[in-house]
Amino acid sequence: MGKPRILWVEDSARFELANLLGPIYASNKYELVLAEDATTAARYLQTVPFDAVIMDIRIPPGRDRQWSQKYERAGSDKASAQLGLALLFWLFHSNGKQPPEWARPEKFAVFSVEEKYEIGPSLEKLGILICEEKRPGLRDTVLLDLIHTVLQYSNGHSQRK
Amino acid sequence: MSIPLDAITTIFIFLIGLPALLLQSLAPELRKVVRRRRWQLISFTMLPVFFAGIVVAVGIGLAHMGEKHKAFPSFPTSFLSKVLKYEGQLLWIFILTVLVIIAGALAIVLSEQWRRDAVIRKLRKRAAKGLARWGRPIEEELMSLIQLGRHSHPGRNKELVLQALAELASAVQSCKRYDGRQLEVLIKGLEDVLILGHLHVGSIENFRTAADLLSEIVIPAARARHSEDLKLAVQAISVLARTALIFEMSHLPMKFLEALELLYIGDHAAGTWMSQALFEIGSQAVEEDQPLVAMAALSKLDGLAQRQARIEGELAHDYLSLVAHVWKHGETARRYVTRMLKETSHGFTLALPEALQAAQAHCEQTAKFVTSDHLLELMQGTREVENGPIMPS
Repeated sequence: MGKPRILWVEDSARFELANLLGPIYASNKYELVLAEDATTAARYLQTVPFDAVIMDIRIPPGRDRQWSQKYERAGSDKASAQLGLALLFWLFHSNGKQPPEWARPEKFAVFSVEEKYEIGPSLEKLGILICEEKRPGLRDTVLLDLIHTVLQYSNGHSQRK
Repeated sequence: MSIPLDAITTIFIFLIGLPALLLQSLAPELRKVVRRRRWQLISFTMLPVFFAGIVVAVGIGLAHMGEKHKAFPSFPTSFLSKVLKYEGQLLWIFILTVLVIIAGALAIVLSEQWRRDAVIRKLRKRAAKGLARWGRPIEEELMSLIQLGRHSHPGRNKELVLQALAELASAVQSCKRYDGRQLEVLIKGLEDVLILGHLHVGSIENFRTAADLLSEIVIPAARARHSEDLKLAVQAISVLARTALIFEMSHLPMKFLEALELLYIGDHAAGTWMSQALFEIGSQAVEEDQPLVAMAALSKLDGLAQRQARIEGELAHDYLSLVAHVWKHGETARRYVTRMLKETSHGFTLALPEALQAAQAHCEQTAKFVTSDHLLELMQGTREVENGPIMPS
């Protein structure tokens, strides 16, 4: 069986948000995978099944032309490009393939500086309900708690089904 | 009508010397590649001289006709006769201008052809010619590309080579006949490009590109059965991650660790390579006092172990060896691994003391003496934990 596998798409995960990683490793409950750009995240989402995915909205494009073109069209600005959202739409709606079997909206949460009213309509379209705002002075366990919430919600959802 | 020999000789000397002059101005590693293209060098030296020779010959011919014109006044009063006016000075100004244009064109062509990115692009294209025939790059050209990368300065120069290698790897893996054994030279070369000698260790950006390249290689390689490329890619990930740790390229080792996650397959061999790489990276991280990297490696190794029906063999050895290294990192680390061991120990085929003993014997046999010592201490420590006096909470 193994531990639940979590994907955290976040370009600051190894930098200013590194303090959020410690509690995850220390808890030894989850197997955490980091992706810091859209190319890497897309690669993981297509290759590895995850139990939960925590997605940032402002992520860099990485090496893939598909994402770097989107980024350039948005004026090479992470905030305008919102590649995290683009990635979610690509996964669920527009990459020409069915999303992987494991990928269901209830397994996804957004953890970003965007306020809920800014991205709410898009998340609604995607069916993603869990959204946590990054604010100054975050608790070190915020990510751990968010993962816990997503897993609980996702398990509850599959039981209801 | 006198021929301006001084000017013509000067231009000819310039034409002959220009390739040599530009060649000397190239970076040594680039010069080495360019000098190996003998026919190109010969043609760049000889062809302009040949053309210039023809132009001068035409000039001499026309001048000779001008002399005849003086002797025979019936010579046609065309454009030519106008050019031949003023003792042929106009003619030689025209010829010298053509010669200067030839010299200028040669300078432009050579500096374009011998620009670093053009040389690398050519090497990549030549190497890729082998794909249609053998499904892998032409080794000689690939080696030239790798050699160029090895001796290039870190940063943009190495980056150009890494980009070329990435494009080649992607082309190889897109071939229908790709079976997981065509990238050996390229993957080994990638290590050489990044870590040959202290002066030429790649920059942080170069390592980041290499991590991306290896991630891209790993996915198709993992789909092939008994993939040698996968094994080499995992080894390269381990080597580069440890180098990044040694050279204190902060944050980069985690990127390499994440690349290992893409080996998500049931292949037993891949699991063994992955566990070895995780042990190597994790133990190096402990040495370099980077506990977060060590914890990440241990967490991934723990995840890998928990996915197996039974934890045994190489996986058990690597897991316990990394635990032993972390154990040595202090009291808090001890508490962390003790808790982890408690949760995992039921998964071992052998009881924990025997599993530790087997791991220690394995390390002794494979000359990992430091790890072996750490395992001995861990054995002692866990005995004490079981007996109760220093039970970490």
